[in-house]
Amino acid sequence: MRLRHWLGALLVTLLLGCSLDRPIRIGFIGGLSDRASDTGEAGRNGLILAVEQRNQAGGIHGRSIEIVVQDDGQDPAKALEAINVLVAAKVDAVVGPFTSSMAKVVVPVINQARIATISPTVTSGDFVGQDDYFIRINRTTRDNAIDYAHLLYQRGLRRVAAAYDARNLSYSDSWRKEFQTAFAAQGGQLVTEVAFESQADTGFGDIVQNMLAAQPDGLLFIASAIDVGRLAQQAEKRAPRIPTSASEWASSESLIELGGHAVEGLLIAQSYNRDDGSARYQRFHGAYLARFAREPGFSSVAAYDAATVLLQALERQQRGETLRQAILHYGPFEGLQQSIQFDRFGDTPRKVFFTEVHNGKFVLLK
Amino acid sequence: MTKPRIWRLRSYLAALLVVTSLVTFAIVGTSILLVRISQIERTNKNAVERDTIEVADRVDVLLGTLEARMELLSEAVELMDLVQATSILERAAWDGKAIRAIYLASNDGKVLAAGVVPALRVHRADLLGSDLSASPLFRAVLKSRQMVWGDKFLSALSGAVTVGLAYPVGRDRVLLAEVPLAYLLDTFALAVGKRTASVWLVDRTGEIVADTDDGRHVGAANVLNSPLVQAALNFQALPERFSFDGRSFHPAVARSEALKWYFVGGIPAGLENPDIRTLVEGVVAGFAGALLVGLLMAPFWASWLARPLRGIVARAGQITQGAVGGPWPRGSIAEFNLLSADIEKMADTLQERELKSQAIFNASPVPMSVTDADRDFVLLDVNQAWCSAHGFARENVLGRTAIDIGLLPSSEIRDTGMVHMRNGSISVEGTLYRANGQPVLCQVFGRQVHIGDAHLLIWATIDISDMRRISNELRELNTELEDRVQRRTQALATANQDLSGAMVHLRETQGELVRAEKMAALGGLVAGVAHELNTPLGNSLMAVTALTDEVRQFRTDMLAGVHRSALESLLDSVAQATDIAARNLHRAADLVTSFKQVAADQTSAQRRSFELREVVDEMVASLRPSFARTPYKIQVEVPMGLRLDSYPGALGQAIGNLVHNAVLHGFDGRAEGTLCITGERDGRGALVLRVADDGHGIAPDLLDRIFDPFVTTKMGRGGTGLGLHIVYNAVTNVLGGSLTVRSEEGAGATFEMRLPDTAPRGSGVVPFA
Repeated sequence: MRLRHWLGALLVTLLLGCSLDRPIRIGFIGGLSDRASDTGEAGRNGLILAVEQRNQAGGIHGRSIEIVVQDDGQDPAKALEAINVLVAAKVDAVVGPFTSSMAKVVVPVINQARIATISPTVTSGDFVGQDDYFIRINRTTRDNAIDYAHLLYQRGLRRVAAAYDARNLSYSDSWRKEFQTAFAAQGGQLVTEVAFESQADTGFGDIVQNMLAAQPDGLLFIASAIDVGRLAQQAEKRAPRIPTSASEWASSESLIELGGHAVEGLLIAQSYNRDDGSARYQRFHGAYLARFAREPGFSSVAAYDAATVLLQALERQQRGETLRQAILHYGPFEGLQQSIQFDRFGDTPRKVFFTEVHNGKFVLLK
Repeated sequence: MTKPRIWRLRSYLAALLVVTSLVTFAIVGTSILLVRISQIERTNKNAVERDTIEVADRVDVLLGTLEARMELLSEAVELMDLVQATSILERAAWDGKAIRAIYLASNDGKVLAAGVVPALRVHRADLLGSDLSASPLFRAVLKSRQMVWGDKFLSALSGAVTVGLAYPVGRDRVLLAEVPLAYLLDTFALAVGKRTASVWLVDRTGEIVADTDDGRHVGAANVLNSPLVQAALNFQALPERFSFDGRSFHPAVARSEALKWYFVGGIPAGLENPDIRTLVEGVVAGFAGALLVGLLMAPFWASWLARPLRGIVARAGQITQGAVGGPWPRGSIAEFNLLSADIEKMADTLQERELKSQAIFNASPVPMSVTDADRDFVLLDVNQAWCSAHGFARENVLGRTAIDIGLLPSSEIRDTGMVHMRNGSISVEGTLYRANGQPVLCQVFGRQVHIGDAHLLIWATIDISDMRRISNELRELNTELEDRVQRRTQALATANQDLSGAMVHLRETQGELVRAEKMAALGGLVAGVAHELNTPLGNSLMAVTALTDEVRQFRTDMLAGVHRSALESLLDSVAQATDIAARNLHRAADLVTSFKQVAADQTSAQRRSFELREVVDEMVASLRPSFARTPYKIQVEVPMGLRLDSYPGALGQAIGNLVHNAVLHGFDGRAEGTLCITGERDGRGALVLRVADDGHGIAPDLLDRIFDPFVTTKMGRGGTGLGLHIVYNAVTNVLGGSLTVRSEEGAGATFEMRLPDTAPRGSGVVPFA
């Protein structure tokens, strides 16, 4: 009898010890190789920074946090493999993925595994209003597309030609459709839609040629920074004065590096304010620069916010509550530039900042 | 508090052997580990440092060829027109291996000519006129005007991760090449070759670009802020160990001069290191082997060692179980043999002792049993007396309780006994049942004993039914006896009453007898006096008578003549006769005076001071006539000077009676006898008067009661049995002395009086009053 008591006490101690000492694991899934690696890497860095800062401040209730990083390679098969690795690693939460097409693969897995997953960047309407473990902190493509439609119409554009990346159709297709509807509602018209596959041998000149064939008064690129850069280069050569705009997906530093003069005047929405002078943002900015020797990108900011939500929710989480419940209930969370409060589906509104590229910089529209 | 653990010898020896071998191996193994691990670590540290620098050097050499190629291309295209230049650039990017795309750009960033891998050549036109001015690499080369390696970036052409290489062409243009990351990785892989150390290629922003662990760490982390990279960046000494991904490494860092990238080498430290692990595994395997061999061998070895002892233990166990006989084991170990012999001796002694106590137990006539108080009083042993008393067979009752076997109808007697137990002893009375069901009233005694852990009760039962019966009978007898005693007492009381009457009668008779005796004595006295007086008076009478005759004769003769002769004869006769008569009358007068004196003394309790000799002489004189006609003589040896202040009458009476007694009894029938009266003072000054005869003596059976009244051998023949009693009374009561007698039959008797010089006052009572 006594032996049993001792064994029981030992077991309890071990379990408590385990639960107390075991670090909190946060999985990361994002594109870290090839074409999407700028968004992925910047996002990963945002997460790393948030976690490192948190660990330095003593972790969460004394538990340290560790990150398990997986590359989805922007490939459904690889993404499936990657998310399964995270599930097997028994992560407590996941930050990622960064694109809607990857989210399509990942969401069913994390729902089954009941792992709260916060995507910093995914905007696709496919995931809106779903009572599941997938939580987004970005706006929806619908919100963005409507804003774009209004703004472009305001700027006098009536005939817009669009090119969109068919490899991230979940995003680009819904974006395009939402835009088309909203723009049409305004009285504008999406004169042509050119789908392309973002690959090494894609002929961007041809795409732009196809867009221009419809005689648009503006070009809209629904693609990543690298593709937008290249498309802008082609547009610059073929129609130097035509107003260009790109969906928020391309709003990374690479856009300017790759686009050069070609992206001057490009209208693009940002999910954060690059010129934010607030101490909070400046602290983040300085820390990021020091840590990674680079400027933070939108995915860095978004991932940092996602990580902040996660860590604060973990801290506020009560015994017997799932992390997802904590995230949904214990808002608002303090993001870098806005507070974040989720509805019951894990969706949240987010500010948008429209910019134009001027002299190699994103300049906030007045 | 805690009891020390008890081991079996075999286990103990086995454990000892195992522990010894393990400790030995542990010490040796630890020493090996300590020495070898530090050696290996030193070697490893050197190796990883050497390897990393070598890899960096190799990569630089390999990249140097690329740089040389760029320089050549630069020189070549400087003087060419754009068509020629395009063709040269095409060739440069022909295989796409080292250079995937190469652009010739103007100083304002516009692409003038481009060479791309054949697969992309269709889109080459897209590239021309593109603006590279915002590209960091372009800016860097424009600024430095020399060979510049760019950071990795996404190729505008292919979107692939690329490393840029730029070189100025003349003054106005620059040459920018996209080197696929794969090429760098191949170069890296080539440079690394086969090495034990892991080497990472870390770019300027801390990204792991390549590693020798199949790209496991690529993209997974940014190590810019790791102490290792920070130390390398700041040209500080590297930490001794570097922890990454939960593993520990000995680090080394080298820098590629061309790329400004870092080669971070790491060789697993501690157990992660295969050499150390192999060594440790070897030692652990050795340890496990030693443990295994120890565990396998030790029991056999210990068993072999302990076998003789086990034999002894088994034998001792048999003895304990009660088995007898059989030899004690002897082996080849002297101490064990000694032990065996000693235990054998001890066992024999114990056995004898047990037999003895068993014999004593069985010899006891009292039925006895031993029960275990902790096990519901089951019987552990019973003696033979128990078996015969209760009629059970021993083997049928052992291990059962008294209730089971029917000895007790219930546990009542036992419980009562236990409740009233005093100082561990029980005494209770109750009915026990024999095997045949016959009830027996018993007194049951119990005594509690603790032997070791056992809590025993030893019982003794005594059949008290007979005793009870006898006691009942005794009680009845007692009652009967009391009745009888009462009856007898009544009878005795009656008899006593009768006796009292008889006693009174007897007293009266005794008084009468004493009076008669007095009369007899008086008679005797008168007779004596008469007799004494008779002789002188007779002699006087005879002389007077003879004179008368003579006178008458003379008258006759005178008639005839008075012859002178006749007158003279008459005168002679008258003279003779008067002389005779006078003498005899004197004598008679003396006698009368004497009698008068005696009578006066005897009849009156006159007390006076007198000379003993005088009283004795007077007494003898008065008695002498009695002796005159007897052959017996009386001697008096009483010196003068023994004076007494006492009762002479009582003393005379005593002497007279003693003399009478001697004559009457001592000399009865004898031809002669001498009575001797002696007087003296003994050594203490007491006056002693002895009256001794040499007659028959007194029979011993008579001696003790000779002074009692009416004790006589001549009852009916003249003895009254009062003579000596009177003497005794006179001496003790009147004279205040003591009277003793010594006699041997046939040798006479001696009566001895011890008289005080002064008789007690008030004792002058008449002896027979």
